[in-house]
Amino acid sequence: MVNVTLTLNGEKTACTVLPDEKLLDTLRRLGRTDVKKGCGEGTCGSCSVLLNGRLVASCIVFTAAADGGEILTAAGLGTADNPHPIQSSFVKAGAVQCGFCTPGMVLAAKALLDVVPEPDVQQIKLALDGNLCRCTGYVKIIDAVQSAARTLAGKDEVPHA
Amino acid sequence: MGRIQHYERPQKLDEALRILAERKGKACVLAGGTSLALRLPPGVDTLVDISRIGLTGLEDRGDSLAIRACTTVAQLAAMPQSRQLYGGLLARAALCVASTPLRNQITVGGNLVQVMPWSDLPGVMLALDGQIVIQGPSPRIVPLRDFYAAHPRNSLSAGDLVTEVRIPKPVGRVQSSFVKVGKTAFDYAGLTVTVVAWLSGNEVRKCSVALGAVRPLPVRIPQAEEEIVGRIPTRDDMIRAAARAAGVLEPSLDFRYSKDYRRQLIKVWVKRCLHEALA
Ligand SMILES: Cc1cc2nc3c(=O)[nH]c(=O)nc-3n(C[C@H](O)[C@H](O)[C@H](O)COP(=O)(O)OP(=O)(O)OC[C@H]3O[C@@H](n4cnc5c(N)ncnc54)[C@H](O)[C@@H]3O)c2cc1C
Ligand code: FES
Ligand code: FES
Repeated sequence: MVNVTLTLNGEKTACTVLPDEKLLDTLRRLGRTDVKKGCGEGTCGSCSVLLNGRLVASCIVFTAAADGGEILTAAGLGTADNPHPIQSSFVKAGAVQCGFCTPGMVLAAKALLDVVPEPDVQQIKLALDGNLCRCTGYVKIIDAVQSAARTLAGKDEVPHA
Repeated sequence: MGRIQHYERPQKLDEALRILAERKGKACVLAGGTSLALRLPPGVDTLVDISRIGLTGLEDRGDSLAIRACTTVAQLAAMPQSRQLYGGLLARAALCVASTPLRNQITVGGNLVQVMPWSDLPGVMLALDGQIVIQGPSPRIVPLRDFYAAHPRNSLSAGDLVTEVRIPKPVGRVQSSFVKVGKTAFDYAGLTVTVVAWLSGNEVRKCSVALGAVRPLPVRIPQAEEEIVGRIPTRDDMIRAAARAAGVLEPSLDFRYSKDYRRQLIKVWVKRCLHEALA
């Protein structure tokens, strides 16, 4: 077994894990079921989290390799009562259908907007290229990221009459 | 799972090499982990995490640029040197690898060592006459041409650790092009083509044409290079070079691409890449 310390959504968390345990399994065991398991092999992005500010597919990260790291999951970004502007934009834009991809999508959007506050569509597509959505067709997801960017930059659109 | 008993986190290269030597054959280098997370080599019970031994970033070695093994593909894509040298070839190719989260995880060393048919960087580094630097029981520097003559798993011993890949700096005017052909943005490559042309005036003094994803290992196509070198290539030269590239090798087939389709892809894309590099 390996002792690991993570800062999980701002809280220091110590845990003991198997030497080949994956971060996704550790996080879900710790109750973080907002991190979803889709493919389990790095292709769908539903397990995406931010590890030290960078988007990773947690199903193919060894937990022991993340030791000492800061992890942000969708629930750490915001909650139903107190959502982050990116999460609100997803709801408002109709970018959430079944919702399985959404935790990963909002984190991919967060990783992008932290570095590129005013992305164009190409940049958004590149930033979301590891996150699959089987429902929306992506159009509204891209709209949501654009509108989140405007909100975060304080350039909210004039609301429709 | 459950086969792995030990997870080692050395802080120094020497320490990593010592562990690999001591647990001969039972210890395996862990870099980005994107491949090891899915399958472990047989007989391994120890993972040696090399992410904390200072093997990240680029170093200027005078006439070459050293890319340290644990540099992630995303870091490589973002570095000013990879955007500048060889017309931005390294950055362009790095951005074609897998997806955003995976580019944050996959390391340059892991991509070059665990060469899968679809791996994107090996062909590019081969076209650039890169050399791989290996530490271990017998430290050595191996040109990628030799490194990829057979699968690296046959030439790397259990105690070996790749520390960096060295890319010669461009001399004179050098132009390049790269394409990855896949079904979607995040699909494995069905073909990658890298063309690098070293020019004097408008004449091509030296040329690399490297293909990936058409054979188990990346390959250079000397027959195509020959049609271009020593000339100011015309459109006909490029068409001839591309036809020879398509003719000389027996492409692999898989459920996405038949042999004939791959040959067709080679014929079209080698021509386009030559055209782009030499335009
Ligand atoms: C879903 C998915 C899609 C992918 N798509 C692409 C793609 O489109 N293009 C592409 O190029 N790649 C792609 N990859 C990545 C590729 O298949 C490998 O997983 C990756 O290159 C391995 O790099 P790593 O750093 O994660 O290595 P690891 O998984 O850590 O290691 C892989 C192997 O290499 C050895 N190794 C690693 N580093 C060293 C070193 N420095 N010295 C000695 N031995 C070493 C390890 O011991 C191990 O045997 C994809 C991977 C996944 C999971
Ligand atoms: S569950 Fe990790 S990428 Fe699909
Ligand atoms: S909303 Fe269902 S997968 Fe995206």
